[in-house]
Amino acid sequence: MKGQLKYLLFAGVMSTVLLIGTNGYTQISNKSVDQKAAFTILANDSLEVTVQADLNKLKQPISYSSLIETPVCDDSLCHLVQIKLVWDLLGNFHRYEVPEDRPLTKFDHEEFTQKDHEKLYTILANTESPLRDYRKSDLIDHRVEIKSEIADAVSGATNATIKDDVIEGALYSTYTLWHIVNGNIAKEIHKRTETSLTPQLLKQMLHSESHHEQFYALTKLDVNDVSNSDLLLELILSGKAYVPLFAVQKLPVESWNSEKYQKQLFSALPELSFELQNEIINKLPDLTLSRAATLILENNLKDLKEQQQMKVRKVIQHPGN
Amino acid sequence: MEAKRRDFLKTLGMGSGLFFGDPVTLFGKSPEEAAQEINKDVFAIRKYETDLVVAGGGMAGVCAAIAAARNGSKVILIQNRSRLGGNASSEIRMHISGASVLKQVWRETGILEELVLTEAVENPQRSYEIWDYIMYDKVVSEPNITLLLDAIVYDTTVTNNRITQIKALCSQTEEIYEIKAGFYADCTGDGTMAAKAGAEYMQGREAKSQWNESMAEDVADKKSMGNSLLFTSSKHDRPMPFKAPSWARKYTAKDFVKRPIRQWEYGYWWLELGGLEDIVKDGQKIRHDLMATLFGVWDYIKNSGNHPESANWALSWVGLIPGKRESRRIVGDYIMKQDDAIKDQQFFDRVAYGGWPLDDHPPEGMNGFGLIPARSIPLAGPYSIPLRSLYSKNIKNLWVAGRNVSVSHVALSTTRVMATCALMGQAVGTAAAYCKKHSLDPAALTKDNSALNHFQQLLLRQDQGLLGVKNTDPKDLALKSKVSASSETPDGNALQVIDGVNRDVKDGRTHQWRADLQKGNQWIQLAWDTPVTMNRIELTMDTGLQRFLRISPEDSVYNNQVRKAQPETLADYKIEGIIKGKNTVLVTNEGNYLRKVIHDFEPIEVEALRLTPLKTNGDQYARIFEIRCYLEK
Repeated sequence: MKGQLKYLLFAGVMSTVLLIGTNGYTQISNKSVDQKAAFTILANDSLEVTVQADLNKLKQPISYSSLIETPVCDDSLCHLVQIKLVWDLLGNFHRYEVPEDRPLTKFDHEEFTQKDHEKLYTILANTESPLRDYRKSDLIDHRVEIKSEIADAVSGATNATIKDDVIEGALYSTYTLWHIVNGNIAKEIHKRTETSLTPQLLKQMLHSESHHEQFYALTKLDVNDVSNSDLLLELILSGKAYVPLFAVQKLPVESWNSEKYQKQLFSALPELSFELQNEIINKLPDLTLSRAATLILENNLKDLKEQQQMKVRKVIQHPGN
Repeated sequence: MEAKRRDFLKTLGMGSGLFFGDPVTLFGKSPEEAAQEINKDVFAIRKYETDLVVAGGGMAGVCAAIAAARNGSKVILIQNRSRLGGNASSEIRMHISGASVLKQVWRETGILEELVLTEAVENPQRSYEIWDYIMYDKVVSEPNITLLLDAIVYDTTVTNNRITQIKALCSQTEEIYEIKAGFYADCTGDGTMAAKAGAEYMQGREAKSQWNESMAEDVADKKSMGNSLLFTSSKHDRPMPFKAPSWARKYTAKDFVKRPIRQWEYGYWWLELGGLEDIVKDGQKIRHDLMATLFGVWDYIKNSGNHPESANWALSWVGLIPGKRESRRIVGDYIMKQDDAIKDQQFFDRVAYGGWPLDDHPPEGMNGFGLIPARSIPLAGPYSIPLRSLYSKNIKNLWVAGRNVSVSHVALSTTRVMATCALMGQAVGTAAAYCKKHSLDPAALTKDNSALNHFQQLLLRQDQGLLGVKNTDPKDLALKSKVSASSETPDGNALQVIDGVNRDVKDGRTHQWRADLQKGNQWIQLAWDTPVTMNRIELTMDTGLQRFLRISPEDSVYNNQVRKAQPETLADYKIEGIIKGKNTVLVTNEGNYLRKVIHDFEPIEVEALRLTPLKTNGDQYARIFEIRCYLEK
């Protein structure tokens, strides 16, 4: 997805920004109407950074962002990277934006391809990357020497072990950016969200596009309060990634046994993932099924696999077993 | 009345093990006193004196015992199970992991290689118990080893910071062993003997600030990696229903989001618990919790509906002994840390190597949903292990090998795997014998540069896995010879058999003689200007160290190997000694599949040696990494 965004630099300079997107990326920024300075922090040993909370029209934070300017140096060659980083409310990497006139480069001055950007997105989003525990000096295998085309400098070949975790030719950019994204800033954002949770914010996170935020909100939800069951049902039927599998285990017994929820769950059954279908089917023996709900279940049997049908029939034919 | 009763018992021939009627009157003693009288001879005391006690018969202990025995030490190997191998045995069935994971050229050599090559040949039936037997066979075939199975070390006597005696107990044979030795090696995994002897040890997880390890914890704690329980299953020709026991845990799909189930003929390393508890003392509970977990996971596989292809599968074996990852770490003169694994430090006292990733598991194990079950930082290459990490800092005659060595928690995450433990065991066993011969203590060996070099040469000669040590043995007659050959491939120059390197070390050279047997008869010859007298030839063959080789219940692991003699290995060959134009056949060998081969013969004076390869185990090339010649006393 490409678009143009105006944003204000702290120095008051107007600038246009090229939006880089990948598959599945959603424009959170469209909903951001205001920004508020949130905190200033040392992103790494030397870089002091101010992070903003991006607010929606209800003045709720929907993401955090920061304009980063940092030198990236390898051997004797240094260049300046300018990049806007955006995190979700839990400090997970969401996206970045790079000025048109200052693209990300590799091998001294080659522009990143779309594939490079996609790979960088994956790298930055990987909180468990080995980059966390490698020192800069370990990135290079000094047994293999490579002469730099530009400067009279010699570097080594990328350490083979981490080849998949870096952009070839932009070793130090990758490393530096990963640590800025996943270091102190991420921790601080998570802490802020953790300590300022309101029911409103929680609800917002439950409807987030990010499965991290949805999952987090799910863990904070009082599931025993049946007034939350509507939210839970939403997560079961349309939650992201693995969220439905957790949500389905949190629905309280009273809701499982209520006709309202049974009807909705059984109606949706054919459209759900195989695993989620099985989660629901496996619950049936413990439930008291309403007649209306049972009818819906019977009607949807044909859309299930044979083994599933057998399990369901066993319950329908011997209710209360 | 009392006297009559006693006489009555005597007539009946009833001995001292009987209480009849009122115990107080039986012998005129209180029940407690009588009990002591009665039972004191049930356990027989056996006294032993030996050079080296190896406590623990896992991969480290087995290799330590064999190494020491082959180097002339008398060894007593004490194992608290009926089988050798520890985590690798049929009782736990963890497959042996190590530097092969690097997918380079670093499969571990030495005694471990001998074991796995033998198993690949002698166990086509893939029986785990036969693997146990192969280890048993290797150990009992060493006359210097006394093997005590089902024996538990429970006590130590320490005088002036030296262990002077240990006691072990075997209930099956009703024996108590009192053993005095010059050296003791703790290969128990838990460092039990060492702890009992007062050796300093570490346990738990250190803080980042301790040694500047980025993978360490923010705050130090007493938690550890958990234990795992394994199982195997097999497919049948009809549905095999499964009903879980009442105490099995109940799992649902959410529990496997980070633990994908792709096969089930073999269990899972992530079936793991105990890290939050006392991994040793809470063992009875942890085992049962793991059983409940195991059956819960199997129940999920069989009955959740998410794995319908499991219908015809049934459990064939369930472990009852959890495989441990971590407990005590005995402090040595050097503590290995994260950095020592990330980059090979080429320690001056290097005696072994590792190559497994820094593979740490959160202590919650299976109890921690949403958490990554393990975080694995792969290494660029193998790293050296120093001798200073393989003995106790404060108990002067105590060696350590296996899990319980001198490493940080983070470093343990890579050193703990069994191939690395095996190399540590061989280092320690060889060192114990060396130190006995030269009247040295472990610490003294590391301080004596010339002895250390001499020792490293010995390790290398015995095919120990070592990084960056070249053969410079002054006693090796081959090094002084001139090498020629019938032919050689462009990268298989015959001179390489005496270039001091006995394997591929990824430096661009093959370090082996290679000749194409399809191009006709081949030979390689070593010649001397002045005749030399020798009675031993040692050869190092190619066994495909770039591949994995280990028994495993997991098909994808097992099937990705050559499960027989490795094709590159020279099988049939003869060696002739040449003097004054006359050839004498010194050696003929057939069906060889080993990497290191030693041939002894009557001393003979020769001007040249000629080795004629006759047959390989499949490969078209004859390959030899190294030829050594000695006159042994």
